[in-house]
Amino acid sequence: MSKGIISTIIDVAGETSGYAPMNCGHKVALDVDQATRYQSLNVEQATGILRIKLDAAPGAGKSITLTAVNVNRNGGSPTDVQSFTLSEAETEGQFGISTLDSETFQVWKVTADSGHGVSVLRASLVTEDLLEIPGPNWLATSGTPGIQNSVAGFSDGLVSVGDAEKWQMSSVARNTRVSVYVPYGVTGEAYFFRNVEGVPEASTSIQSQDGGGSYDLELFPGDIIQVMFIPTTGSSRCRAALANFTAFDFAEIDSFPMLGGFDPLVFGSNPTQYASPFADDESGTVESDHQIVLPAGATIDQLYVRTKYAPGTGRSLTFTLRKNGVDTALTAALTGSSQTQAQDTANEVQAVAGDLLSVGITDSGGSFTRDWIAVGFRLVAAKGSIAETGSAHLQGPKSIAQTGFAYIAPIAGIIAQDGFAVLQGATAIAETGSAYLVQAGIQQAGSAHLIRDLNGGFGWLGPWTTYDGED
Amino acid sequence: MASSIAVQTLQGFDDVQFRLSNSGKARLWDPAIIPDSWTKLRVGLCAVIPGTATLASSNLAIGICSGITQPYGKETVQHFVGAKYGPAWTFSAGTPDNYQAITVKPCKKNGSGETLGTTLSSGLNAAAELVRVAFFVDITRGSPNYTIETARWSNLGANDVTPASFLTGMAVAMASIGGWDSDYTAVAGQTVAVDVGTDGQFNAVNVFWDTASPTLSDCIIAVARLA
Repeated sequence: MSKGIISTIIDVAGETSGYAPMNCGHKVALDVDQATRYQSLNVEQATGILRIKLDAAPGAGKSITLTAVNVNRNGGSPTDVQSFTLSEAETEGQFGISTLDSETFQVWKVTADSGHGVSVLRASLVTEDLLEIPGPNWLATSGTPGIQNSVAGFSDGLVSVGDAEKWQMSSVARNTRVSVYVPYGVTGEAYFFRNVEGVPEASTSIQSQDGGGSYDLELFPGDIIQVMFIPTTGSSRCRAALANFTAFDFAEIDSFPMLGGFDPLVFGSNPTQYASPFADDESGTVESDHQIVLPAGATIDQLYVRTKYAPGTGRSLTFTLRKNGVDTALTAALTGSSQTQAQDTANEVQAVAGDLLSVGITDSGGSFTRDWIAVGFRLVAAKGSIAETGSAHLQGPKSIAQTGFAYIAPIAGIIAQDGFAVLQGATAIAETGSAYLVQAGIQQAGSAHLIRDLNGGFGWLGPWTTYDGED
Repeated sequence: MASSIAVQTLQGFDDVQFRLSNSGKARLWDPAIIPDSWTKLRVGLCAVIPGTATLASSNLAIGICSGITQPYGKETVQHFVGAKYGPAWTFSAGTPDNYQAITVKPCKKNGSGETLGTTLSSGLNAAAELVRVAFFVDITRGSPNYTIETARWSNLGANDVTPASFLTGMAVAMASIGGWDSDYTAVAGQTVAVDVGTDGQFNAVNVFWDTASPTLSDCIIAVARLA
């Protein structure tokens, strides 16, 4: 089950026309004459509270309405399922989101009264255990704390050295802790705030440099977290992948889906492109411009890609998740004249905090119609040096890596297994089958429950009893 | 001679191996690891019988018992079930020298009363040189009949079963045991009636060799909960 928070910023200040694609993090514009836009909302297997917040109230006689719309993947008319309206002086609200079936995805329909004007709507889905505010989410603002002149929401905002302050405000969080990782391309100083009623209550300076920095801040229901960054040295205009927020309930390991999207450059003349895997305005040919940094160790899997248009007869479009500028095993390709969605659910990639992620797109050539592209994948949190991708209870220190459902309860050393397992033992357990293992030094590839006696061993209540024959 | 313990380094760690001489080994398992809900256990023994002549009255018992104060081999046994190899072991010179246990039967013993089921197999069972051979005994819970299946060494070969290979074999289903090592063959199971309510719950592993010489040497004992 995925639990977590998918934070999405809808920027209603940037554009005046056109429809936004149904993927997370893309710009959505509302203006006086165009009142309805759609934005994707990832609620895959999630049940929680959708919190929304406007930086400016709609104003007298005005309102803005957020409507959740269910769309069946197999066709049919979208169905409005629930909505929430912020009127006049209201700036915040919330409503519940329920788990959807596999055939349905959900989009937001944002409707504003004519004359609503410029505003920024932020929204996030909050569930119990995990908070994830992904990606390059700096807003190129300056001046006093707050959101001003936001340019891109989740997109590639820029931070210019010399600007006084850059602020990013997330949405709400509850009962969790937050780490901020500030690793990319610029030296500066970050401050991390927990806001109560919009007033920063606590701040922590995080010295930012390429190596990154982090800080844990306990959050409480309704808190708003905010980060300010003051760049000091570095390139004159640094990419916005400066800070990621990741919050885990450290008592529990879980996974959460990530969605992103972007507009590609014109294919044909740009057969190889790169984009941020979280969200991007537009892909490009310089990969470093689109890399984002992973804020915590994770296993990455379940890569999905979707385009508006198929590549065309005899053509293909290949998407590869790249880590630190190198292709990973996660790849999905669209081919032919009708395929618009592809996925890789078989492979996975291990990543650590600080890894730079990007999506490489390779066009086989031809005249692929340029339009939006959506990318989604799953991050499975790593706890310590344990990396796992299944539903599991893991107890133990380091160097555990496994991909199946498991209960692992040791010990130090290296435990690696791929199947269903309960592992208790010391070092050097490695197996690839379904197993119940109790002991050190076991290596096996089949289905088994094994207890082996070695030096006292595990799984026994006492030592061997040795006895002589009597009859 | 009573049991002795040899320690040698295998795969980078000290490995404890037993030598049985008219003696046995029993050990309680942790019910948190093997809960009473088990339906199929495998008791495995990897050993060699370094003898030079046919044995007329040597018995090897491999199985499980209730408690460790009266395991198989004691005058009064507290509920043992497993497989009993023997009493005749025919020595043959070869590569390696080897023993054939004429009779292998399901065995249940409680108190002094022993019940033996239908013969499971006869054939090669043990090497008489320093080539370790695996004995696998699967015990499938039933009511009242427990099914005992074995795998036996069916082709003479000089391949020593290493601890690692033995443990790999412990995890292989009996039907596929030949895929683990083509020298081994699964033997169709036979049953023996068991009443744990009356005679006691099983909670220990038990191996017993009733012969002083030759010893049952280089023993590694493993237990696998297969279901």
